[in-house]
Amino acid sequence: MNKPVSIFFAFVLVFSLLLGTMPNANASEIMPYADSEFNSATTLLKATKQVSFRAVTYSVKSSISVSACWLEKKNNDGTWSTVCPLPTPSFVASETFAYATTVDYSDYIGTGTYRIRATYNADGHTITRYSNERTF
Amino acid sequence: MENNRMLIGKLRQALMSGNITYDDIVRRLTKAVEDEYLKPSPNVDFIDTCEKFLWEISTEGQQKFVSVSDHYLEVIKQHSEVKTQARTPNRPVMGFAKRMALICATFALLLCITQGAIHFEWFTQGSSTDKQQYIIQGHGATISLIQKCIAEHDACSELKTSSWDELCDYLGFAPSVISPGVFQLDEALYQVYVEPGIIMVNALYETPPGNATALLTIQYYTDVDEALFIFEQDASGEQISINNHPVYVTTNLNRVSFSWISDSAISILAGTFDYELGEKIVEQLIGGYTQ
Repeated sequence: MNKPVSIFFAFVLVFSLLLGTMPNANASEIMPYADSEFNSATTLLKATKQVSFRAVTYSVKSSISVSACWLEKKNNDGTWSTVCPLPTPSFVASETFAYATTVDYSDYIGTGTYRIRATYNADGHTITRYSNERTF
Repeated sequence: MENNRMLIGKLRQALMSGNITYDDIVRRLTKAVEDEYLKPSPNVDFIDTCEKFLWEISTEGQQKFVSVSDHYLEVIKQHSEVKTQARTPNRPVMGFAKRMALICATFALLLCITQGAIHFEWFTQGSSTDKQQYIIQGHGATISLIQKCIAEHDACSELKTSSWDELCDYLGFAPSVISPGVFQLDEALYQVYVEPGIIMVNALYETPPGNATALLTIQYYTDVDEALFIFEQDASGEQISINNHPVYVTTNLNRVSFSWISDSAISILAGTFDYELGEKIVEQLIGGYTQ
């Protein structure tokens, strides 16, 4: 193979690799990731500083739980900062497709605007979702 | 009240004489009712009169008007019948005084509801910032109390069953879910979660392997603070109309989902079924709410 042809093929190869590895910014903006297991995952921060965790899956799971939970506080510039991890609900639903429980986090929430970040776990499949924000 | 009747009389005359169009009268009355609801002390008579007239002209007087409070009264009656049938053997016969007290309490409750608590306005609907989820949030009041009464569960409780009868007995009423055997959705598993502020009814329909599956969730809210429901979607959906009822349709991977609001409840039907089948099911379920 002569030199110009080799350079051409090398160029095509590199270009192809670049295309394959470059993130598609537009796609990530307009195509959010759906979830294959969870139909809904609602984390509700109430005025009482209690938090309700509710989730429904598309099929019966051996176990559904909240495996991680954090408290976040809104900064003056509108951004969010993690305040602390929260104890996860002790309730674990088994052999079912729906999960619901309520936990009191009043000891952790002070004054300001807060939200909860929670990770739901269904047989090892996890999604992390946010609650509504509420000002205390 | 007399002023309200005179106002409606004038509007009726204007409509018949052609001085005002049907669309215009509907728009103006709807706006007047909405404005009245927003007042600190809404004039319930005015609202009832307007809604009755709107109903009359929209049905051309062919159907009897049933106010929201009358509807709730009917629900209570139905509930009372169900409870009586189901529980009479286990309970002593209630004395006359107790029965009267119960009737008075029921009417007191209805009075509270009628005095402004019947309006359930949903104020937030839309996709989350990253379009990952679709959010419905609302505030409302009250019928809640009726739902609580129906459920008769003081604290958090849960039921998982495949028996329709057991589901109805647990709730004390028949929820608007798809009956087994309808729409080729045979096997059903029900899960109910009851808390003071919410009743969550879930039904999972399994059909033979390879066929469609369906999930139906209804959340009956009894407390303004509980009215939040967030479900997954993979792109922004669209709002369609089924039986003149707004329904939000979206997809989550290979599943289509329909969601809608009725009274103080949010419902979502999702699954791998055909879009047309979903529309038919929702049509049935919405019909069930409005009966």
